[in-house]
Amino acid sequence: MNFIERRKWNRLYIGILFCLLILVSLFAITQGSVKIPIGDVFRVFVHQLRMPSDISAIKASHIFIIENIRLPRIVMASIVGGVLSIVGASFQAIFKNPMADPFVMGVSSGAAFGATMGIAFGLTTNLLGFGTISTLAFLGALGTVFIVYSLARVGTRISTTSILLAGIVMNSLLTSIISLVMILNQDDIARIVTWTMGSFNAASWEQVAKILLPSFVGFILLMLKSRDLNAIVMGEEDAKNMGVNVELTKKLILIYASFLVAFSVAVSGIIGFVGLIIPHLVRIVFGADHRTLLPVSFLGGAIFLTISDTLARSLVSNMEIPVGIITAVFGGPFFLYLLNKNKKNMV
Amino acid sequence: MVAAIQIENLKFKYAEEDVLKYINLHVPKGSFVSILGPNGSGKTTLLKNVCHLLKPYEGKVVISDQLVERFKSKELAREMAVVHQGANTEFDFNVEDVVLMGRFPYIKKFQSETLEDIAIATEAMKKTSTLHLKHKTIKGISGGERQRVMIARALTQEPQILLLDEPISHLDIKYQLEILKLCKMLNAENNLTIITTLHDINLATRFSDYIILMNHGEIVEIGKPFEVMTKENIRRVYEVDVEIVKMDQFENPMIVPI
Repeated sequence: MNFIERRKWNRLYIGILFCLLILVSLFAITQGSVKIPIGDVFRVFVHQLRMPSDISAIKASHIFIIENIRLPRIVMASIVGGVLSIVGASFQAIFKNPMADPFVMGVSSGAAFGATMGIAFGLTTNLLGFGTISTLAFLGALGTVFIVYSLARVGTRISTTSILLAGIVMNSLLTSIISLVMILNQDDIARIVTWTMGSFNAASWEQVAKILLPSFVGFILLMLKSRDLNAIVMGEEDAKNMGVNVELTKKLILIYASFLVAFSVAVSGIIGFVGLIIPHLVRIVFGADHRTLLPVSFLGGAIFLTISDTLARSLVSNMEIPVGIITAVFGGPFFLYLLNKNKKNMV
Repeated sequence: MVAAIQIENLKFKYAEEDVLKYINLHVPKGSFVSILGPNGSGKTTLLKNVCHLLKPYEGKVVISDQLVERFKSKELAREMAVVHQGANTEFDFNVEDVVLMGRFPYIKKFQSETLEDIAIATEAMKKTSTLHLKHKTIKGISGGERQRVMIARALTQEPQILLLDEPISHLDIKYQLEILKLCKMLNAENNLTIITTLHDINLATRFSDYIILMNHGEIVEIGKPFEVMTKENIRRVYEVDVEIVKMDQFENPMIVPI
């Protein structure tokens, strides 16, 4: 298969994955504390599209659950899953390390730290609403990236071991401070627990609207750098001699990634390992070209987090498990597997 | 003669001590130049100063009549391509993808590779006999094949100058000859200026138009192979006694350590 053919096939695969995401989402809508028949879900959607559909037999409460509880929640899980995946893929490229991930590197915790401070100091004014929290989350994520990057940098080079170590330390430091704030502000415990373990139980169309545009913009900005990323993973010196402005590209990617992580964490909290698992699996199937890797990772992350969230809210009846626990159950062993596989390169 | 590369009074240091001391150099267009010298003599450092990965604290590097720092990064990549040592990546690309990356300095932001770009990459793969590898992954081929792929990528940049850093150091004799013959062919057919660092003094004398012999960050001598590779120079630089043997089938002499 030549380059042009491969590009066509990849477009087809992206289409297929998108259809798969729709199917998974439809199934996810039927699941939960109240089971809704798939036929009813269809009828509600067809009605929504202003087409003839008989919804008189469906309970009003079911229609409300479909339209205002489950659908926004699934859309949000999809966006957040996609965003975390493309951020993971980008980090892995610029640090040339398959272990990099916004959670492992402490960037998600940085965003949560910023958001937590905003809540603790009562900066959630009605006037600015979520905007303040998102801004603080962005500053927290960017600050953490900057600290981890500076700690791991030796001259112009970045040490892989240092970046992981610095990430782990920042992670536990920031989570500890969040926990401390949590203890001092007992009123906000529920909200802060949501941040440290991740959950979509507060999802609404209003929140979807808040992350939709920033996520789209961030995705496009990363896509515009995908050829640069290809060159960089083949070696920074090679990339420089091919005309890539390596230092600038790396800085921009870190800023874009912090921006994307901030909006995700601000609505869903710290959800780990999505950015680690998905790009890795996508790379095995589709190869390392970031022009394919980024969009496919987005869809893969969306599907993965939608499934994880469905498990989180339907595994135990009358109780919701934080979705971060579900992703960690998948991701923890996967991380260990990668660590073992990369042992030779780590020494 | 027109200069592809001109270096004047270049000095470079990583920390306190000068690694390159007062380098002056003139590489004519279309020549095949090898940089020789013992380990730590500054060969690779010199090469990296030429391709602007390292910046000298004194002196200047002129590429095709323009100061190297005046080039935009993409402009420089169209003028000069570099094959670095030990291409290694965690990420598995197809050979064809890797070669196509050489078109980076030609493709604008919102564009993608055109059929013309693909034709240029295919031509480069033909020249380097790597076309049959194009669907394999870069990790799934041998060291000699990978080196040829890297040269194909460099050719895809359509440069005037090709720099190579130890292109044959990890290869067996068959691939060593193959790579150098390929370079010589590109040098002859495309009038490509080639500058390479080498360890093998015999292969260097056989293939090069000029040799730059370095020691302790200085140029000991520059010139035609038989002028530079004398018993005295080799003893001085490598601390090894050699016999210089003229062989009928080669233009340049062979160097045999005693």
